[in-house]
Amino acid sequence: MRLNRILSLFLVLFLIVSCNRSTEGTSVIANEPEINRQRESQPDQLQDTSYFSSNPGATKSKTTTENLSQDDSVSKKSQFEEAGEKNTNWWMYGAIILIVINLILIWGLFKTISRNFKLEDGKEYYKKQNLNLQTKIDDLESEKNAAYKKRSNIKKKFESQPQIRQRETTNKDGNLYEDEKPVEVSFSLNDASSKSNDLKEKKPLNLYAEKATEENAFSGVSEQKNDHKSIFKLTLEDHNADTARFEVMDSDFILKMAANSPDTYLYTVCKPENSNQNFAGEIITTQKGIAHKVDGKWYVKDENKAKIKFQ
Amino acid sequence: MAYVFRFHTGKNLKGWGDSNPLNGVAIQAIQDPNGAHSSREITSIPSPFARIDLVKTAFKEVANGDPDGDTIFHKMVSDALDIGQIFFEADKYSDKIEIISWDKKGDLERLIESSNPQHRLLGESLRLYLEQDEQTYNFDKLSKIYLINYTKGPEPLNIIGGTSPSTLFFTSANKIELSGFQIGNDILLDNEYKALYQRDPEYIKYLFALRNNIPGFSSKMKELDDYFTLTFTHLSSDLKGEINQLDGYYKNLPNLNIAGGGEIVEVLGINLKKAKGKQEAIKNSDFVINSEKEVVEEYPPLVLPNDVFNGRLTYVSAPWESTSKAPHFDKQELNQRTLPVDGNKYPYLTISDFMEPVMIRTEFPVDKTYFLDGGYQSNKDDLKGFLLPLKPLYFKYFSVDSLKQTLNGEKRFELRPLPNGYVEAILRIPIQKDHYITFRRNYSNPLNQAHKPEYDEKGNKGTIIENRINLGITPFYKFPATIHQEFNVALYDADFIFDNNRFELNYYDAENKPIPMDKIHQVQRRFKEEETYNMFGEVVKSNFDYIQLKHNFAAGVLVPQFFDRIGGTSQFDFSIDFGTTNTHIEYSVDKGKPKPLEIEKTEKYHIGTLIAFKDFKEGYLKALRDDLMPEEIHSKGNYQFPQRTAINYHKKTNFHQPVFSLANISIPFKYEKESFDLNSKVKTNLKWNSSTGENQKILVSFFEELIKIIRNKILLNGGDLEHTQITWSYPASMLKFQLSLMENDWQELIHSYLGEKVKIRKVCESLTPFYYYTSFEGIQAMEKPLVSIDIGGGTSDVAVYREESPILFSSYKFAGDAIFGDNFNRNINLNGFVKKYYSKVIQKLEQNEQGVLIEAVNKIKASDSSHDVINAFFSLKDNKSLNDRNIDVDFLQYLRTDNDFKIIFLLFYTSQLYHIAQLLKSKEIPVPGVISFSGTASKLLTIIDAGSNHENLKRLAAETFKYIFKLERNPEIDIRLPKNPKEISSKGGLSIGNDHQLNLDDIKETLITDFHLQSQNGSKVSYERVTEFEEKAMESFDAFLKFFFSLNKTYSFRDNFGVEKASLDYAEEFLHRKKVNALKTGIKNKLNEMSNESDEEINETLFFYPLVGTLGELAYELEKNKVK
Repeated sequence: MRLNRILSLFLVLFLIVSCNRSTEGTSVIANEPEINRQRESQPDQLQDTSYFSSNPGATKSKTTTENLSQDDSVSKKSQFEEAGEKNTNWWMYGAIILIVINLILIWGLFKTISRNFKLEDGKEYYKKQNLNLQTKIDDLESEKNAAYKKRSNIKKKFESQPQIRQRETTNKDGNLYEDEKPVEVSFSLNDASSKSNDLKEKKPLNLYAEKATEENAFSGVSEQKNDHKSIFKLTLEDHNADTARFEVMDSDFILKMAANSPDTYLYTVCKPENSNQNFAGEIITTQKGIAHKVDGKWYVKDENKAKIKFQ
Repeated sequence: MAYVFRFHTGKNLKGWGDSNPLNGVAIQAIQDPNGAHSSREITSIPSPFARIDLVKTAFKEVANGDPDGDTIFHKMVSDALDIGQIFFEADKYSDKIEIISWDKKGDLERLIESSNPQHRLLGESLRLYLEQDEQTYNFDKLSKIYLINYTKGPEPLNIIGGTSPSTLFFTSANKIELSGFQIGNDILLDNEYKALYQRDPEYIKYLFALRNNIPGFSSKMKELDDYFTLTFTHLSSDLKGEINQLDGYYKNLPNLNIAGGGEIVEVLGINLKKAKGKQEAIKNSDFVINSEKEVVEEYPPLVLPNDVFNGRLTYVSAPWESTSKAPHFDKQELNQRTLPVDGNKYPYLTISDFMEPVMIRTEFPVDKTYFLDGGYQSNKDDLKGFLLPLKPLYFKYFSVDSLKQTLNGEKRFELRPLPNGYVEAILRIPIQKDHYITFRRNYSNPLNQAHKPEYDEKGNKGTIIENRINLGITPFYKFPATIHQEFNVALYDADFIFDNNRFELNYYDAENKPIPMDKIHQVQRRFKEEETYNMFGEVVKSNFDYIQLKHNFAAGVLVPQFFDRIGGTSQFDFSIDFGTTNTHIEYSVDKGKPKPLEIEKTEKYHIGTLIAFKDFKEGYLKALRDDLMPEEIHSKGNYQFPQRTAINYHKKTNFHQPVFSLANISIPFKYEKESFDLNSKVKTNLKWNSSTGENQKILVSFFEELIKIIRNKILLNGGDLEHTQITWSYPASMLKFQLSLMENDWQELIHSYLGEKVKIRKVCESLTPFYYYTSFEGIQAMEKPLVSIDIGGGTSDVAVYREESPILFSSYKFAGDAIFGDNFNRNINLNGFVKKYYSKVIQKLEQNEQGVLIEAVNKIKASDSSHDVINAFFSLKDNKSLNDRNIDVDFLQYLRTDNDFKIIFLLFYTSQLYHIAQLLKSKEIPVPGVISFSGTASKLLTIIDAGSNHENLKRLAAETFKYIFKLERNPEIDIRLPKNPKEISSKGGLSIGNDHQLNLDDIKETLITDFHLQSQNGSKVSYERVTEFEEKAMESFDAFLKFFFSLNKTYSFRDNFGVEKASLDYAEEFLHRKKVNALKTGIKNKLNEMSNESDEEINETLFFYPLVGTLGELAYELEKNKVK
């Protein structure tokens, strides 16, 4: 559409320009003896008709001439016809050349524009391709998480039943069998709500914790951040994850509070790499800690403490 | 037939004609279409004279029948009596009425002479009536009529009644909506008619007395007189009796004046009176507050129920109606209030006088061991506490203990949880006859705490505001009157919602008087912009009963539950060893076994806090332990004595302004154990660094806190302050002026906090260990002398005893710091021990996840003091946190197994013995039988001999004495080195008898070099001549080095101590190379220390200067070059 509009506009412009050029051409080209000479070879009849039909100025000249006296009329007619023959010839050549040049230009412009449009289409196409691939990656990621979760559940089950695990997973030589891929059969209805729930559960989730108890468990864990109380940010792979990575929040109030009382707020779940006396406005979590969810509470083992640096 | 427009009957007239005059008969003949039961006023004749007459007729009608009734006559009588009662109680209604006088002569003339013809006409009409009916209505005796204008009415003038010359009072019959005219339960001028006999007895008596005072009353006001006569028959016999004895009664009543107090209201020339103030009568109301305290008030206030009250109690003159409710709030000042329902001006108290509109909630529950919590049962999932929403006025009448009591089984005060976090506060106020008024107020729980609290006192709707606050008080008992009263109060404000919300504490004594500001000093120790919370330290020099905490949006009361069983008869003795590195305090009760000063778990009242800070993890709660004191100090806890001699304050503390211990400066009991906030400064080396004003303040603050702890210990454990004895020790090397200053500080503080009768003793710290050994170890110093060497951080003191008495004393600055300190311009980066062991100790702590301790050590290292870092290393051995986890970080043990540095400790020990042997020899004192060690640094001797028999130490001692005394064989010398050397000085201090009055100067001796005793030639040698001894000092030192390194040949250092020959050779070469420079620097430093007081006598040997200046460097070089 856009292309058509541009083309039409261009053609209109071209025609206007051409017409103007034809009118101006009468006087300009009349002073060119070389071109006049070339046009003398054109048939007179054809030149005359086409001139009157296309040139209103010329028609006016003709009418004026008819009002003149008979004598004058004869002599002036012969002069005019001579001149008219000469003008028709050079305009014809010029117009043809111009039309050809313009056609070439239009063709060139058309080619350029259509090439750009092709590029646009290509971009769109690859964008869509990218989106599709991204969706596919996300789906695969979700599948992977689900499989991971299932596997960890199975692992947990096995851990709680060591004798069964022993019997089922070792061969006669005492080597472990390879885990078989679980066969998944979905009984759920493929409705929209369950889909959105699945999506929600599979999305990464941030939780915020206030402080850690003496038992190395986070307290005041919530999805809502409290600017004056949330000291740690826990990142979960998805809603159901029972492992989270955590770091110290980067808020002025919290940093000031924690740096002044690191024993109270930090050291239960963090290992300092330097003294709190080095604090100059930042506490960097150089290595995120890992918290595990047990009975609804997030615990941090000594070996999973975050590493922090005051600077 | 034409309609006759008149009520009365008479002859029918056509046109104009004479009618019969309207008289009693005619009126009597008027037929009441309602049968005289109309409730509408008769207003067909709109003139005052008609009203006067109608009322007169009404009295006559009623007097002829029953005083009770509902006829229009009863109404007029009742209304006229109401007007009379309004006149009588004019003061009560002064805000609603004004009395206007109309002068028959003056005002009438003005009307008649008016330029207004209508006024003139009215004047003429009035005069006509006044003259015409002067006999009938006593107008001839009338001087003025007094009218009552209801000022709250709709018109500029709303006359409701006035005085009448015929019936005393009459009503205007104007239909005006009145309010607030009530006496008891009777609403005046309403549609319920009340006969006189049913009214207030005082009013009845007044009218009867008035009747008696108007001459010819029975004739002048016959109708009224008849009514009175009828009324009398209905009165109680008591009242009749009173009416019969009204002599003088009328005269005693105050005159009734019109507004402005000038003109007296009168009827027929007799002044009208008004009721005596009802206040006297109201004082007997059953609703008068039943105060526990002897409050002297002319009018004790009433406490009136703001809810349905079923007790049948007398209010003013009548019982309180159960449905009546007093307002929840009265904006008037107490003495300007008028009683609800009754209207008398008398003070009464509303719920809002006792209860705050906004209740302060704390982030964590209130610790009820220390503060009243209103019995609030916090929700398990949301533990909260509240300040009591009471106003100080409550405590004007009741003690703080009343809040814990019950009234008829009901709690005097309680806070009850309601759904959604709302709380109901209930306060029961005792009134007369064992009744009480229950006030209840619900406090809403706003969803958004960030908003300014919204409440409605008039509607009795309170609200809650949550503040992150804590408060600590030490000590937590009331002081006896005999001693200086001084509390330290710490207020923590950790709010982050409202900016610039200013908190203040007001203290009130048992009489509910605010503690005057000149007895309170406030300083700020912590700042919100730095640490996210403020801490205000207040020193309150007076006992107080409760504290009111106020801020911009609310106020609440804190009622501390002070320990009330303080003091007793036990005698407490304390011995304070103020050391360079550590300070230790021992005490004994009734001369019993000495033990370290402790705040045991059972001693709960050294400090009390609003929030149980140890139970909750918040920085602003934990800081209390640092700013005031730990709740426990004992060997099994985190903090104990001996305590590092250090002090803690904010970096920006201005020592030109007042500094208060436990307010803006305190002993950091957590030093070397826990991390510090970013703005704290810990200062050590207090003992020898008190020359400036700042240091002097710091030193006094340190002492002050110790004395406060001692005071609390005595009073909380049944001690008698007057029989307390405090022994403090000083180093012998302390200059006299320094000693004098310190003595002055101790005395002032002890007398200030413990009273003038406390016995104070000072004792040289070098002498006390001997008394420990004699008292507790059974060591005698009879035939052979006993040498006691006290090796502290800075100085070593030597005392020699013979036959149980000290015979020689010497002191020198060659102690722990000579090894570990930064002597002679060295620094922590050039300290061999720090260089070698810092990373090792940190690594060990890291391996054991001791982040907190790493912080503590790092903080100390940041102070750039080798001495402090090394002491921190030593302290880890006794760290509870490490011991609880079985983590052994024993720096002493590290050194014991470190053969590289052992040469240092061998030199240290041997040089001490060498010098002492030279000293004894010079003084011709025989070889000692026992050498005992005490002081913190004496532990270092275990590095070269950790055995229990101390064989190596004994051998070295024997070899040294044999060499100096040129003996043929080694003498028998016993070495005593206790496990807790620091505590020996303090324990010994307790054992010194009261007869110990030794002048140390008498036995003090300084062996300047091996060849010069200070006392040698009779005259003392001053520092002016010190350079003269340089050469001999060097000779002495050379002799020592010769002895020391040759000793290796007879007593192998490698075999016995593991010292490699290379180390030995290196040390020998190094010492020879450095000794001269070290000696000269030592002398120069000493002279600098003397502050150009070079005429002071030389008070320490020059012998150790080369070692003081080289041991530290030797350690660094040994470590740096890894000499093997």
